[in-house]
Amino acid sequence: MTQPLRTLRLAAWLGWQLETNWASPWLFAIYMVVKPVCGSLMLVCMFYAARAAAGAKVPAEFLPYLYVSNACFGLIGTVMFGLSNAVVTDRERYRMLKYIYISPAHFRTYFLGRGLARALEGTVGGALNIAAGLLLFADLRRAMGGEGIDWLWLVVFLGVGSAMLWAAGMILAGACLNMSRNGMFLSEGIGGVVYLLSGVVFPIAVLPVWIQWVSRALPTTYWLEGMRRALMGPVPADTPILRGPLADWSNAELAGMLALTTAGLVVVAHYFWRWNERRAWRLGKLEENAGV
Amino acid sequence: MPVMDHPPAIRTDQLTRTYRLPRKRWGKSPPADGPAAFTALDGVTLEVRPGELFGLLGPNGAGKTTLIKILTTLLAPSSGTARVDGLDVVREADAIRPRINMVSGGESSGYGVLNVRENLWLFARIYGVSTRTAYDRIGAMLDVVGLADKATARVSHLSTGQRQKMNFCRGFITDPKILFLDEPTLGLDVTSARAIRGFVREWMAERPERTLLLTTHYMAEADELCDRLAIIDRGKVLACDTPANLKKRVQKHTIFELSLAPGRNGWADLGKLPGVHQSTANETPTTVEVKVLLEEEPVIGSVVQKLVTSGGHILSLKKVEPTLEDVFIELVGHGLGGDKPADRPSGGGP
Amino acid sequence: MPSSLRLFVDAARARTYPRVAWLFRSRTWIFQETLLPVLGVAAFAYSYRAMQAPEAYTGLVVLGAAMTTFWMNVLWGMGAALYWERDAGNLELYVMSPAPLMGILTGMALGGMTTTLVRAATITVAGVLLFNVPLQPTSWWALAGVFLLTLTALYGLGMMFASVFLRWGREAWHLVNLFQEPVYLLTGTNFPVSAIFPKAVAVVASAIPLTAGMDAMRQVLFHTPGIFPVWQEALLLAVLSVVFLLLARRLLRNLERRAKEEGKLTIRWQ
Ligand SMILES: Nc1ncnc2c1ncn2[C@@H]1O[C@H](COP(=O)(O)OP(=O)(O)O)[C@@H](O)[C@H]1O
Ligand SMILES: [Mg+2]
Repeated sequence: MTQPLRTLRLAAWLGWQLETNWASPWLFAIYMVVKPVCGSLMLVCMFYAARAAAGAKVPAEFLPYLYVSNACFGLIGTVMFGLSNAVVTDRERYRMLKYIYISPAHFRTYFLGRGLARALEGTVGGALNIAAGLLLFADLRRAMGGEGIDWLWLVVFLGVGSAMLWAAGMILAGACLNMSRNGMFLSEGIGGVVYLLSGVVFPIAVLPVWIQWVSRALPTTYWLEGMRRALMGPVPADTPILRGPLADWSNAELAGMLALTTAGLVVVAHYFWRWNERRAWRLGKLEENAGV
Repeated sequence: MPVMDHPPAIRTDQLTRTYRLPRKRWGKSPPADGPAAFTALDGVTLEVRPGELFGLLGPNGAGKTTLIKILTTLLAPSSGTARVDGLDVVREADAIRPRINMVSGGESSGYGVLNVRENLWLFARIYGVSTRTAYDRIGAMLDVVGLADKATARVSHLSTGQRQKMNFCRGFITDPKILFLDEPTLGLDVTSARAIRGFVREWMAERPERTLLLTTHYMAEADELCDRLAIIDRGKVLACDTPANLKKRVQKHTIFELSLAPGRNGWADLGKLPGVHQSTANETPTTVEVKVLLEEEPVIGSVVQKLVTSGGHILSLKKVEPTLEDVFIELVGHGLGGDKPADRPSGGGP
Repeated sequence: MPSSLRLFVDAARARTYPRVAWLFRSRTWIFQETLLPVLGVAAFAYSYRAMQAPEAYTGLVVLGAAMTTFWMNVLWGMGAALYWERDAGNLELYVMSPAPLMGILTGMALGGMTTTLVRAATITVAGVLLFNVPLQPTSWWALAGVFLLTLTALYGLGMMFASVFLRWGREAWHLVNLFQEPVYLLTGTNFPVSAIFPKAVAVVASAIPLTAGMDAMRQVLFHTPGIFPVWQEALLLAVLSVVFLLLARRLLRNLERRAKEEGKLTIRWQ
């Protein structure tokens, strides 16, 4: 029992060290804030551009919707991208992957640890992002002030969400085991697809119906809906534009569905990772160094 | 065969290089009050003549690579001067570059997506070598190192040693006037290493104006290849001479070993002969092993005569040659084993 | 041709080669380089749809995505290039060689442009077809001209970044990352800059060639309001190109000198 724990602690420590390997703590702090906030501001700009062009057809509630889901999605992105990045840099840059593989440390536990470090970073980034939004936009203050944060559900969604994040990260990291450096571009691309399918910047009702069904199979869709509700309360009834197919679900239904889809994802991640690990081992990809 | 009436191919004068030790990272304990800089090269003065195959012999961390980096215009000296082909490495780097090339063993450069031939082609082109010439030379060089069958294999699929061989070829295909080889046989198998040493000698013999600076920590390699050698440790040149002279230096006496048939005939008082410094004997059931230290080599004549006249029976006679290892131990105070001396920071801070 | 110029051209051509070779040899290339970004684009397109913005706004997203690929290439392919080269052990070989480093960088730029052009074109075609983007440019010539000028300025900037990033070592990686979102924001990747930002901000942002370039292209393609008239933006891009290229050369020299003094040309893992 102590061996996996030690691996976990070491890997999390290592991940944190690598992430925070900055000469100046200030630059790191800026980095933690600027990146997510600018991403969100971009959406805010789109919102105002659409408003300016199309008259007042866009309800004010669209802004908090965009802002909060994007901030939450940051966590998904950080962990997914972080894990594949861990595979690629450990192999190509530090050339350590093979040594970790042959060490008694459990390979997957090691990556869980690396993921933890990223999750910490993502959570802090997301919180700061929302804080900045609250500071800047009255619409967001109104939306989040109305019901207040529902801490209980927040904990539930974050808890189940962390299993989902890890599973998603492991799927990408697994794929990266068999790819060279450009695996990182793959994880970015997949991140984009998930961003599209889980309705981060629009309610999934605008998607073609058959794509909506794909969305509904993804745990991220339920997770984002749950996070939005925990942070801002249920979707107001007077904004039909924002009411997706999940708007009428209760929080418990959402959490149940999230747990169910997450369980599915974990199973997939387990087998996919194992298959990839074997394949990488067979093809000698654990230590291949492609260069560019 | 060194050509004498030319400017030295390489000349360094009081060359010193210090590295600033890395700052401590934020959030960590403040730096201990150790030295702020590390002296990797300490007042190195060397001269390599055109046409020479010059060796730098030293343990890990001695400063060999640092010296090569400075000479190949990759690193600036902290003080002192260095000239390559009569040109200053700081001010005339652009003029030096077309004339040199460098191979550093144990390092794998190149592009994984390209194959061996394409990689070598690329690095020939940036020296302005035409594609046709490049291909000819690449073919020839790949034969030398035994990599011809891998010419069209992607570099990412090569073994470490094969990459190193490719890297070795890269140094030669631009036909440099002065070539730097930094531990070229590091980690290669015995056959490949021998082939490479053989080729290096051939390459030098082909044109007398070529100069080659080789670093190594293999004594035998240095002994076998080099016209002259500098022994370097902790950034300082301890000695610089031909291998033979270096060995002579540690050996004040000529040493002979004799094997005699068992018996007590004559060897007991060899030490009393004029010119014999010392004589030791070791009796075994089948032979008597005698070791004599002579003040001069010809004295062996009177030793033999004495033995023969007193009825001794000589089975074998052998002159014991000192090795560079002996030289090294004499100079450095320890063998060429680990990299212990490298850990000890020298110079720099108070 | 004088021999230094010939060496420059030789070096540039040689360094273009690995990039283009990669284009043809990477099997997953089409999938990851084009299909996935197109899907990512769709997210913003649907967002505009949900907000009931005019159809042309979807075009802004497609244009933004296509042009962003160049920006990404400038950051990752150019800015971080020397850094990667050092990691791979190639940088010292280039520095040691008689070829000018500007030649090597030019080669990287040409190679990067070629591969990215394919990618951007795929995104554009797919985006236009998928989302029925209305295309009525005021002039195809103006569009092409502005596009080429944008590329020159962008890659000039990339060459400049290359030395800055190498100098900053590991921090460079973070900086590339750090700059990503702010630049998307400032350049107005998905929206017309002048409709949102105060004029002063928009003017300052035009110093990034991507801003001026995209703004001009948006004006030509979708008749959106611009920061400056198109011809002024084109002029700005031309000036920026020259400035960046000259600066790049200077920085590169400086960098090489300082890196040599500090012994940073060859160390890795830091
Ligand atoms: N960039 C650097 N920063 C700090 N110290 C260095 C650096 N490069 C080399 N050194 C130190 O300088 C000494 C000489 O190194 P080097 O010239 O590589 O030795 P070698 O003789 O094995 O080639 C070593 O102790 C090494 O630790
Ligand atoms: Mg060395």
